[in-house]
Amino acid sequence: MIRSTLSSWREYLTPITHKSTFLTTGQITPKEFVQAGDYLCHMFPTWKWNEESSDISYRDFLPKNKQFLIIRKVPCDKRAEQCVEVEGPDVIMKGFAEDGDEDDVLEYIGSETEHVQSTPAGGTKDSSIDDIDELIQDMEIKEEDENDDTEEFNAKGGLAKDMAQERYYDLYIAYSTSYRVPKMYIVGFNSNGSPLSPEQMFEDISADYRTKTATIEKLPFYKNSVLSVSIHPCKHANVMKILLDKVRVVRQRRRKELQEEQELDGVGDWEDLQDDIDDSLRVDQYLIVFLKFITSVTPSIQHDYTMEGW
Amino acid sequence: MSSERVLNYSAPFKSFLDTSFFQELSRLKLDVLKLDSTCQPLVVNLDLHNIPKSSDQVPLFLTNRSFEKHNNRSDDEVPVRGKIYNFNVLDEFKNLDKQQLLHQRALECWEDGLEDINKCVSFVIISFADLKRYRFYYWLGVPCFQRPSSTVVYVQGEGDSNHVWKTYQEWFDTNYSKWVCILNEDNDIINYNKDIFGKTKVLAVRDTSTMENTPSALTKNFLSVLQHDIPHLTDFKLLVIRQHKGSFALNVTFASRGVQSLSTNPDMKVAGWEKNIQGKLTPRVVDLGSLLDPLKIADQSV
Repeated sequence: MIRSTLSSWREYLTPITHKSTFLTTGQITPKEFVQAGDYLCHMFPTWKWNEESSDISYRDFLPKNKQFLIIRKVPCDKRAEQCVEVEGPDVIMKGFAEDGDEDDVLEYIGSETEHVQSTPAGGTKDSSIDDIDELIQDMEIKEEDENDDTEEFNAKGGLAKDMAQERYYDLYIAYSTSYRVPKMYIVGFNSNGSPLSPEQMFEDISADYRTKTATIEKLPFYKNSVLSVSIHPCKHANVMKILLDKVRVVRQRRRKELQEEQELDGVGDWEDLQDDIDDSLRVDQYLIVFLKFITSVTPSIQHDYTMEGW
Repeated sequence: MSSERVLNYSAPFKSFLDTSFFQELSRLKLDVLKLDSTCQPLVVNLDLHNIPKSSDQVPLFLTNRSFEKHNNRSDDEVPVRGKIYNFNVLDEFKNLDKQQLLHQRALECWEDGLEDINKCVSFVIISFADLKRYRFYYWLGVPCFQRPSSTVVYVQGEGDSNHVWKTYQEWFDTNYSKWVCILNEDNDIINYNKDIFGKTKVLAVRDTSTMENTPSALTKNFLSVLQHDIPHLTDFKLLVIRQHKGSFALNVTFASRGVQSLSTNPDMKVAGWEKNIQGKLTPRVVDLGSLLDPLKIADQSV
């Protein structure tokens, strides 16, 4: 009785005391973005804040060395079509509504990367490059006497076909002021390390989002124009709110179960009065949940390997 | 303890060139260099701490900033210098004797290396920019050389000694411009010095490969310089230091073939043009129309 009153009070008070609305709206403030970014970099050092440099156009509400987050050269070994698609956010939400366990939920989102059909797509070659192929082949240097090294240089030779599909992405997370959420930009490279065209990058965005929320856009934080594909953030807040709510409900239930167990065990129930337990996700964990959501948009880009700890 | 085997090497880097690199190249070509086709200096900062899991080498990531004169590296990055030869006509690019160019660059590296063993690391890019069609031909090479008299390097694995790696990693972190270090008689890590090395016979090299028990081909450069400095060296201990994980130790035996020449300009065996994904030695071509052509960009934008 007291507890339920307390928790409803807490529900009511939390957003105000934290002066943020991320639990109720799924949006975050720039300060929270920095907090969440710090946590992400701390937990997963492959993510980094930008370096200060002359070619960045700075936004003054963020520290100069915390304008955006980067992870570089994330492998992407197949196209989005080749992943079995557990379609977009609708399904995720459905999954939440009936599902109970937090881990399950998160695994569920993450799992899309794992159910994979091995349907090797033939080499997708740009037709305009065909005529150049010959020219390039003419320039090939035949190795005559590199005998002792070649073996190792060629170590991947047998996998060449798979390797040719391999791509690499630089992912950027910036703060979107209009939507008050993080926004994701991706910039891709092919297996030879040359830049991908936007059309090619679209192949790595799951079909559901490709036409709706993915846009070709120049990276806004660099002065020179690097073209990227961005995930438009108009729905981010809603999705994030649902995810965060779910986490809270699950944690609450889990804690209650735990307490009931403790009561059964005869452990004093005074414990739960002293700690004002917050079942909600802390704001610094926001980006980690955000990345889980992004995984459903770009199922084959394996930035998620950073999440093994979860 | 594995048995004796010939040492294999992996490619030293995997190159990535982003659009801003080609943009800057086009800008330089149009506004600054024009018909001047002399080579231009480049610099790339390596991040040896975060190598993508799937990658066998450190990415060598070129952007517009690679053209900058002042290198603003961040704390744990290692700078590598290189040069770009941008040709005015495709035929020049096509007909260039590429092995010869690489050989020449390798000799420069060798001579720099004789002065300071840490300086024999560099890269070279040849390119032709078709500015009307936004098409770029390029090829990146990392000169790796070996003296023919010493092509055979036998190695034997050493037992694990994880605890020592950390001190080397820290040394390389603080001495970011160094690629090689040795132990002195008090077991302290110090800069390369051939006299002290002659006594302790422990050489540690910074490695850019992630393949198990396979150092990057840059190791050949260091070993060549080492052999030149200490002609009669046969056995020593080589520590291959990686900043993340996978460091290992090897007992190296040089099996010299024939007579060692002491000339400073020896007949080098040079390799290093980057292979494509099929393992072939071919240049690359990239069509950036959809990324750079203002008309196409206008079409795509929503």
